[in-house]
Amino acid sequence: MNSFDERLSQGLRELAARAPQAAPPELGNALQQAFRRHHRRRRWSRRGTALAVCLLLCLAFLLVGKHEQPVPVAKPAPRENFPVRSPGTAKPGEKDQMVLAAPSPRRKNPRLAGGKRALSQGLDSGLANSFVALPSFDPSLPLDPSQMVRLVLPGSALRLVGYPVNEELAGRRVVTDVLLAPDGTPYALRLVSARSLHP
Amino acid sequence: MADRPSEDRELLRQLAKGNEAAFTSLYERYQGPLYRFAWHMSGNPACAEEATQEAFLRLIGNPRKYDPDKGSVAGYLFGIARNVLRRQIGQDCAELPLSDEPTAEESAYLQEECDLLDRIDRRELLDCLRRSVLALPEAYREVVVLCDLQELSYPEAAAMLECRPGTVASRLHRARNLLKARLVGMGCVR
Repeated sequence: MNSFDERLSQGLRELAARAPQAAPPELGNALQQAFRRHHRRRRWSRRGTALAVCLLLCLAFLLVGKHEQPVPVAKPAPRENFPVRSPGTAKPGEKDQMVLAAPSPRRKNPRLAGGKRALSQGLDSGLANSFVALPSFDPSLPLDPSQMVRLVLPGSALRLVGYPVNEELAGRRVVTDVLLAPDGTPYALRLVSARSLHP
Repeated sequence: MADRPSEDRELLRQLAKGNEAAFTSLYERYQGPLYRFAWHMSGNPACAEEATQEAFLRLIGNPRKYDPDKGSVAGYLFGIARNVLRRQIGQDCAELPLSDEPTAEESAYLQEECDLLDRIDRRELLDCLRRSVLALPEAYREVVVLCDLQELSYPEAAAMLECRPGTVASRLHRARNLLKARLVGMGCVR
């Protein structure tokens, strides 16, 4: 190394010594604040994501639970105010009995025949208190007595929901109690009274 | 600048988890060398501050971007600072570098092998040196800053610059020759 190189090296060392040795303290403070801000944001973002996932899971459970109706393993127990009796075994003149069973539309259903009997008996006596299952009745679904409505219908309209109506009744106005399924489908009905359509 | 790669990686891991003490340790360890490097490279305190800030902000923002297989944490930080400086120097932070090749006049001076620096006073020498370093092409300026001004070894400088130590040595030799020629060319010699 000649003297020129030595002087150059010495000059460079001196230049290095005169240079600032550290970044300004404000830079360190600004970076520290940036670090805190960044991680605070990240923490909130993580919490927000976790909360959103929880909410989505809850929503999913709710939706699934709403669509899946509980499937009873057996026919629901009869309610106190709606004693069930097979229409075939209904005794003539017996009141305050509910006849409720799912009829099969393809074959002649003894229950519907029983219902018809109940109607004629009820009308004969002026009051029919036995419910008769309609073709839309699903025995697997629970019945709620609070979902009963009282309607005044033309007798011919009863045919539309599958209730067997004779010609005499078809021409009369009938006061009817209708049991509805949770979705509004009529399941069973009973005749309360009948009067002439043309008074 | 101590080379503590495994310790740095652990600090970086802690930093990624949000450990502020780990960030402070890394910052205290590298802010000085990084700022000095940027200061010598740009000759501008504002540019040096910006490059240092950018390097640490990227470390804060995405610490997982650092790949241990590619080099040390120091190399990663210096790499970011170099990129920022390159962008800044391309704009307006530094003086325009002179051409890589010495002129015929400069070469003639060098061949005389006379002790040129004996003829200039100390203060003027430092001013000339500073301007000459800033006027060097980037690749040569980097090795002068790292090896001569920051006194890193060739392997350490090579790690920062992501090249071989032999490349650092040859660039440094060439850079010193250019510096000598620049000192003559800038009229620092009376």
